[in-house]
Amino acid sequence: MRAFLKKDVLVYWRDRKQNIFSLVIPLILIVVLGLLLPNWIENPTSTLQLKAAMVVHDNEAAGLEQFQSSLKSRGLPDEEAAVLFELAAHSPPVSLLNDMLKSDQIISMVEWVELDEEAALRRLQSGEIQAIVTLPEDFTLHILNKTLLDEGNGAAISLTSDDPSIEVGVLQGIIEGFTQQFNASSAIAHAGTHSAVTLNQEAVLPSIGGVETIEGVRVLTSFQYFTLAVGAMFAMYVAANSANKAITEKREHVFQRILLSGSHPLTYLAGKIVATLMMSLLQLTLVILICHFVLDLFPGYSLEFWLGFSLLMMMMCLIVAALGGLFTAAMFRMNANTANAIIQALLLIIGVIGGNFAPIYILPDAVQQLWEWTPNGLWLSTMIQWIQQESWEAAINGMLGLSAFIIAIIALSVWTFPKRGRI
Amino acid sequence: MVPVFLAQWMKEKRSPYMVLIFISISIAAALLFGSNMDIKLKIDTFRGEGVTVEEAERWIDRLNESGAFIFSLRAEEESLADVRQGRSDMAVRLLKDDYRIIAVMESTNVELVQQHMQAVYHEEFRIMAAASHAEDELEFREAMKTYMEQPPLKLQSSTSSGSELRSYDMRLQLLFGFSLFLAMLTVGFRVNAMTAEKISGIWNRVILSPLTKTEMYLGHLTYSTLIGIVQITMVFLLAKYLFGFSLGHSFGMLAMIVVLYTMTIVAMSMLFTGILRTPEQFGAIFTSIVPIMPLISGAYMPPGTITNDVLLFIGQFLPLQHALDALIGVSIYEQGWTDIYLPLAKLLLMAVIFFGVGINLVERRRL
Repeated sequence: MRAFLKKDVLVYWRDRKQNIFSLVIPLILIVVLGLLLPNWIENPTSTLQLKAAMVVHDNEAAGLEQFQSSLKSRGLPDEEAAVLFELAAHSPPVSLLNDMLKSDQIISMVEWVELDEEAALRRLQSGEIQAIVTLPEDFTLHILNKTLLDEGNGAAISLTSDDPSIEVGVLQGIIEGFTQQFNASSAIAHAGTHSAVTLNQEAVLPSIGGVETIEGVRVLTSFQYFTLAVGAMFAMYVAANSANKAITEKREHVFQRILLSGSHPLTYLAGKIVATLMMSLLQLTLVILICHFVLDLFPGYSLEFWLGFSLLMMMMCLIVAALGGLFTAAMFRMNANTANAIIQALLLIIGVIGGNFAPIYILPDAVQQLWEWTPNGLWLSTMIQWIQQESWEAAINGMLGLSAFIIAIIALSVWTFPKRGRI
Repeated sequence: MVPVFLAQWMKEKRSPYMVLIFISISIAAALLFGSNMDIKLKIDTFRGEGVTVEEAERWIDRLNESGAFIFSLRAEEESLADVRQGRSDMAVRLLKDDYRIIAVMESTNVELVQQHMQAVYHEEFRIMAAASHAEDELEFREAMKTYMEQPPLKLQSSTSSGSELRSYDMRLQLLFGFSLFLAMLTVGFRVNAMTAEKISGIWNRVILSPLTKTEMYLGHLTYSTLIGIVQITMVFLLAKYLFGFSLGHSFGMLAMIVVLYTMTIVAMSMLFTGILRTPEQFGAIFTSIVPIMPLISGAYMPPGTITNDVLLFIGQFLPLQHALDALIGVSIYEQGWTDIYLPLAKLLLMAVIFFGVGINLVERRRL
């Protein structure tokens, strides 16, 4: 087997330009991705910005006056009318809405501009603004009538937008939240009056809730994630490369000559596997070390951390080596093009599911369930847990799973590899 | 040209696995995204001390009535383990009329969940306080419910032409992104077959025949283009008719975009073939670079996530970016020819440049 190992290493050496290339590309990729999606892992939201117009047909002061005069004309007793008017003036709906929409939190997201209807529509269509919030005529009057006198149908705020974007969705959500709260308050007041409760009674709200942070857990940074994900992906490409080199050997009948020499076919496979192991180890170590020094990935971590880290790295390379064996076996069994297609497709699939091409957290739930069922996904998950927690228990669990994968894949490759007299 | 085209077709028929595999992956991806993808954030909750299951479930029902979250009751150990391992952002401990959010750090999601829970809890307290003063609590809640059916304040959303306001369909974007990405791979390998022919000596023999070089190139490239178009079209048709995606009303525009995009990626593969020497090199490098393209174009994320100028700039050179913009414009924003002519023009320009440079490089190399 040693001779075959030497042969494989020399074949790799012959192609060193390509190897350097496949070392440089992951580095570039990691830097690009880390810059592209900084804080992606910590904060997967974007900064939303929206320009919206407020079109107010309603005149609040006039509405309040109208309400007051309508109270008088209803013939209600003076004190009751006064109480109702007090309530109306205390929290007029338009002011409440305005206060909410112009609060600091909303202002940081929405840029409001007050326009009349035609100008607003024009700007909406030209794309200068993304949404229009309209308060119709007699808005104040209708709302007050409904909440305090239970007459009429209330009023509706209209939201107009041609742009089905996330920002508009968020604005819609905010206004809906406001209407929900407003309606709930007036519903409570209304149902309360049925049982003789004064409207002024506000429940004392206890202060509840809070956030507890878990101690002793580091948070994964984007650069760390991408270094691991991209590094692992390119390590797996090393396996595909080994298999590709086997195409030449198949074509040149090298394998047949090896069989004729009396060596066991599995020594050939073993040579390939060990060569892949060495190459992938070299590649992964270099990528991670360079990224560590350039991007300062793991500042001041303990020796224990690095011990576990190296163990896990070794496991990944063993997986890659096993995959290399499997792909080589496949290459010998099938037409080269077909085998190539299957290998690429397989790497693509487990790459996506394993979270190597895109951060696993943005993929749909169904995919996230499958994450740990792929060897690279399981490795990535174990690594992340190790970085965040440094718990040997979790690491050993992961390593057991990974070993199971390794054994299964090697068994499969040995089984499929053509035996003597087969090719 | 036709004999070369037919020759490719025959080669394909003899061993169609590659194309079939990629088409099935595209369809599987469409299926994956077509399934009811819950964009709501799932939050694990568990019971704290002294909280019964009924109480917990009552609170969870209230919390799930509105908002963009789905709360579900799980065991304490599992929920906390998920948070520690980074699989969930947070877990919620339900206490008697109180709650605690357990998280590793205060992210935006944690704030949003906290706001939502505060709002729901406060509303429920106000209802409970008011109901405690009423004679009959049940009647109180009933009265509230009937009142809420005709609420004083409503929100109407619509577009400027009066039709319904749709929210952004992320699944459609993912569907488009993945189909275009996989088409790039299929086309790349088809063009790679051309290099394989050159190496095996077939190319030189065909040159000796009466066929002109133009015809030979055309034969290969039209075949690759056709395969790309067929793949994307199949996925779109399946998405529309089987999974009910709505692709907008203008199929002519969609078809035009798909054709132009396929031509551009054939040209891009040509460029790669010109730069790289052997089919194996092509295989290794092409498959490394292509998956980056959807990432840089922001195909996997909601629009507007990418703010980095450098990346936006690089994205301008990727055919995927423009094709995705045009497709989304047509299907979601219902744009017309005047809106999408710009991405289409860029695609055409890229196609021409890539073809020119690519074929030049290939010819000069004298394989």
